[in-house]
Amino acid sequence: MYPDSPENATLTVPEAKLDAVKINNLYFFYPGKARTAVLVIPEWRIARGARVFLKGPSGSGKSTLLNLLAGILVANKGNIEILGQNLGALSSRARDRFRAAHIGMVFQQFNLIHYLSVLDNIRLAAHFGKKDMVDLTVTAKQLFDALGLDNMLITKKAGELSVGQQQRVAIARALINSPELLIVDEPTSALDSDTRDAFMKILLEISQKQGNTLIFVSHDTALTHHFNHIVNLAEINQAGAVEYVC
Amino acid sequence: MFVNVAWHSLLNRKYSVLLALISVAISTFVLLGVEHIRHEAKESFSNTVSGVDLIVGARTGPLNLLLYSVFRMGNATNNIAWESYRELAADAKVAWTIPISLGDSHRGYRVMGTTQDYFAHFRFGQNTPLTFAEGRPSAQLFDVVIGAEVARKLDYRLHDHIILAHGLGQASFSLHDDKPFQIVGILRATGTPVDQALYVSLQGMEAIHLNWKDGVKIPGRQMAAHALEADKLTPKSITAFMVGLKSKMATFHVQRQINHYQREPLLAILPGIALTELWQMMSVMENTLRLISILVLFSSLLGLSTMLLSSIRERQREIAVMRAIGASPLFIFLVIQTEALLISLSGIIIAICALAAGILFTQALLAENYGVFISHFSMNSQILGILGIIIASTLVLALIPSLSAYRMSLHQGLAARS
Repeated sequence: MYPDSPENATLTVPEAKLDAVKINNLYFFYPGKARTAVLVIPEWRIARGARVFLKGPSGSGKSTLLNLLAGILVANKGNIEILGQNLGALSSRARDRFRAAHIGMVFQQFNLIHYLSVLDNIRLAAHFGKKDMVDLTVTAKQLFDALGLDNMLITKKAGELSVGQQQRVAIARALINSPELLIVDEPTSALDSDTRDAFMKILLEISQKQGNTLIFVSHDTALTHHFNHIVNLAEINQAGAVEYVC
Repeated sequence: MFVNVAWHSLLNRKYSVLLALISVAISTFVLLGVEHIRHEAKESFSNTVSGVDLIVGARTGPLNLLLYSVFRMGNATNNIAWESYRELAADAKVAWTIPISLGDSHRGYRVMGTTQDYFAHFRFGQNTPLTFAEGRPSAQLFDVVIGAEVARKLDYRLHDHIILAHGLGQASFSLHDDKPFQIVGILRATGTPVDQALYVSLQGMEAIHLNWKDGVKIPGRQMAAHALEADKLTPKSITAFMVGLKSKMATFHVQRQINHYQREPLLAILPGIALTELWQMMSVMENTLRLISILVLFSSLLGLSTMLLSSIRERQREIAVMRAIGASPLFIFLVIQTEALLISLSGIIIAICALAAGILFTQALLAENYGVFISHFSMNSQILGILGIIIASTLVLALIPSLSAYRMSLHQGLAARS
């Protein structure tokens, strides 16, 4: 299933298209007095279909990197290509649309708009993804089955669900547009250990089934055995190593 | 889609939304109410007299003449000699005249001496003639016709006998109690000062003053009522008269002619122009009311913006979630604008319903107790214009919270820190 596996190698896909994420000479700093670079990544690639565990201590620029990958922040220098698309070449409106259609995101907590029903949360994501969903409810219910969620929950207000249920609904929401890239940011830190294991199992199963590229951000190294790539952000980010000042 | 999000977001914060909604509804109610009453007052004001080309009185200010001849407020400074009146009324350009003789009252309501011509030619509203609810115009010397409000307030019926008082004021001590009048007609309500007066013939007016001198009864000079003959009772003077011309074209000519009358100083006014002047004097009041209601509305819309702005802080996470699933900052901007619009629109609808219902229920009460006639609330172009301005101001003031949300969605990353 991986790009370097024999069956994929025979395909005539341009090499760039094989990468889910391709970063070249990335340079980023937040506007402000310090002007010290937060991220400096000369090169980083994630192959399509890979399952990456991204670890790093807090303050190492993980959130910044995720914002850059999602196209919410824009690099000051360098390129970020997601699925072969250079994000810097897109307008901010187009980046929003690209994110909606191709990237699914799940966070630590508060993934849902609590005053909307579960179905409306999912519907909103589908709306932004511009997916033509005639059978949105059917797709949502299939996802719910796969995630072990009760179908009755679909009409409930998101705020009425337990944290564990909310996290699983967040996966359903992230997967409704069948995104190629799934970014998950410390999704288990609000869960107790039993729920966490169940959650991990479901997440990995469903993303494997859909064939998404998975970027899993966490500092919980106990989870690393689920992944075939373990990346330490501190190793790829040279911002701390050299004092880059603009 | 953003309407759905905005709607549920508002439902989620029902209490603060409800307060903002009530505040917008009340202020819109006040603004529309003031506008409606102003419109109605102006309408009824300009409806008090119609079809009259000129009003003539002794030389005084135009407003004074208008006030005492039409609104029956204040007093004439001087009278017009009967001969002058006859001469001017006989002019070839004059179609009809209505003489007016004032000075007496009945329990606070003024008594006007006039002729049959008053009932035949006087018009109010949109050229509406006076009609009788009961009875007929006065024919006999001691017949009196009363206005609708007089009849209702004093509970008078046809054929009741009443006594007029000399001079004005609620409690006059000099009564014409030797010559009672009989009510022969009750006018239909007009919503104008016509309702608040009693009408006798000029001769009747003259008759009750025969044994009076300088406003005081002369003792011992009692006269038998039946001894009076109408044709011998020519008045020496009248207070004012209204003129209808054969051709409107002659109005200014006749006006000039009267103003330059040689025998005595007279003044002729065009009622329409004088009414406009009078209304303009009241425009300070009118504009003050308007200004206050606009400020009330402005502050309530500002309150609405403040409510939304403070909600933005609580909605950081929600904005982050929307951004993560691909919402553009514009979408978030539109959600906030839509929320403001929904509140403002609901407020307007509530205000209109409350105003329409309020007018419907108080209409009879106002007409009965104050003689004020207010028509149903209706959506005219002016009201629509005001509503348009309210909605536009809502959108402009909602820029404060929605731009704040827009900026937040641009700069705040995906993972809002809890």
